[in-house]
Amino acid sequence: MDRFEQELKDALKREPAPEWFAGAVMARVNAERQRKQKPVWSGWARMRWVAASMVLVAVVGGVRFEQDRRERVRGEQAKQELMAAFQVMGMKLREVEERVLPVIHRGEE
Amino acid sequence: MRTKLLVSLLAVAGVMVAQQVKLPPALDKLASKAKEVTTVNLGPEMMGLATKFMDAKKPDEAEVKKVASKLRGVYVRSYEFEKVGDYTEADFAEIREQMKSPEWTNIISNRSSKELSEIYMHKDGGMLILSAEPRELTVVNIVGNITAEDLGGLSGQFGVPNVVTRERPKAKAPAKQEEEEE
Repeated sequence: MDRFEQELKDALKREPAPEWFAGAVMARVNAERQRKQKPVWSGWARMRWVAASMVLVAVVGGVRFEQDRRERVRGEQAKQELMAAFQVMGMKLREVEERVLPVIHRGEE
Repeated sequence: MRTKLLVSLLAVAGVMVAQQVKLPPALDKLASKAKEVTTVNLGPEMMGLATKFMDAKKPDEAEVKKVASKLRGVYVRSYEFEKVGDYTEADFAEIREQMKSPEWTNIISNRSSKELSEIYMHKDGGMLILSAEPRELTVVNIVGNITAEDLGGLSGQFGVPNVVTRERPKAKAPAKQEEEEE
């Protein structure tokens, strides 16, 4: 056996793994397994969803509030116009009555 | 069933349209000559909105809400002018022409040399008031089912004469009115 063969034999010689190796591999496997089992919306992802939902609720609520406010303004305006219309109607009916009633009563007598 | 409902709705809509008087453009042009203008255009949607925002618990709004809920539209044109002759009968002739339709009945008409007052009722409950004075012209069109009782309900707040509960004046009253007229 020459020197080269001896070196090759030494290099290819089977050696048992160090004691820490199996533990390290299993720890890595477990870590990888846990990472894969994490829900999609945990951590930052969940925060993003919560934030997006809150923004959505705020936007929808804001739009709804503005719609209600505008409707209230229009409603109040319509109410005032209706009151004004009834005022005019009342005034005119009273005027007509003042003109017509004496004539009617005269006729009845 | 659906057809019946549709026909009913169309019939109601047709009645309401018939009660709505077509206000001539000439009338709106008077606004530029008038010193004071009152214009009210409340269609079905705005009437609904006005009614919605009336509080039935408030005494001054309860009766108005009750009457308004029966109405589908209120249209007013009221002009007050600086001088006599700023408008002519031709400006509202088109309205009077529409009142010749058999659906409308002239219940009151009072005409003097200077003034004209007319009240028309539609067969389905609408009303038109036309009042022409030397310096004032007013047209009020009520669309919907308004009754004398409804008008009576508005008497306190808006001064509408209460024709339902009114008692005839005693015999001496007309004589007094005549004196006043003199």
